[in-house]
Amino acid sequence: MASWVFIFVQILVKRIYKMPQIIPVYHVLVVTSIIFSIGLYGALSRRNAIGILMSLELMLVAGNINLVAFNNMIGPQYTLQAFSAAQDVLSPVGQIFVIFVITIAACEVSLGLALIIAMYRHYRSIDIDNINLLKW
Amino acid sequence: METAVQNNHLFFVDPRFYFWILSFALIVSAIGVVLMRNIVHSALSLCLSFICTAGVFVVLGAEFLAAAEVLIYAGAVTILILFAIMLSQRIIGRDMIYRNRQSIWAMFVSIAMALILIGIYATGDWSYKPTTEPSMANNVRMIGRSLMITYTLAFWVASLMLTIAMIGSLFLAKKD
Repeated sequence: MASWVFIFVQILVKRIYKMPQIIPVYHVLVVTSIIFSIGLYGALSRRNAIGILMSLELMLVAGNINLVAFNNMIGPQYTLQAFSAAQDVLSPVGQIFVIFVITIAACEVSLGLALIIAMYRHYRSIDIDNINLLKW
Repeated sequence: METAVQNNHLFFVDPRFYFWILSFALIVSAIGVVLMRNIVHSALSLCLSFICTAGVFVVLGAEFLAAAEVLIYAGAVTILILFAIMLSQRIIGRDMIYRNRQSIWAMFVSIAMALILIGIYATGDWSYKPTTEPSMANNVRMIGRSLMITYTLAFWVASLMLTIAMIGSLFLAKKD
């Protein structure tokens, strides 16, 4: 029994190490979709407004990791188009997208926290279920 | 009997090893963000997940983004969230019920979302040819060049938007 397990592990290790040593994009996509779903669950089920904001940050992080992985995947083609001298350097198109996403997320966090503090001044609570002034 | 693991195939020079460890830590800390009862613990878990994200960026070859992630998210955003928590709770740590009555349906929806996304991704072809040597200095230099040459207008608009957001959040949080 133990020898069968050992042989199986050996075959698995050989199969893994026969692949080229790059991170497969599909693994990155699986991880980021799991993180996005966790953030979605938090955004749907939290009652604290700051908790909802933190879950939104998780979803943005998942999108950022996706953009960086796609940059690794399709980068060299765009490098040849944009900079003709550099052939072996990764093109930073996806990373620049991530920089702008980080900027927008910083704006979103500062505005959201200012709104939450204004809301707390008005209602003395940040429970989302109690704040239903604009509800039908 | 030959060894299964060759000398140049040691696991600690393999980027996939670090990617799997970091993504496991990232998923665990993300679950901590969502499920922690105390909101301060949740914010600290969010800080840990940002640091793990920076590690994933390093593994994926985006060093500048890793530094920016640690500076902006793990440094500034977490501190901002902690200050907002301290300003908006009467007693730290002992506050309201932390999830609403639609949490069961939210769990169904999020699990279905994850399964649908993974299933859609499984139908695609994600193979790619890696470059020979992605260098760090060239990476940062190329980011700076294209941020200053190709995407200058977007850079200006982003800085203008940061200024507007700063003024707007000052105006919103001002005591009147």
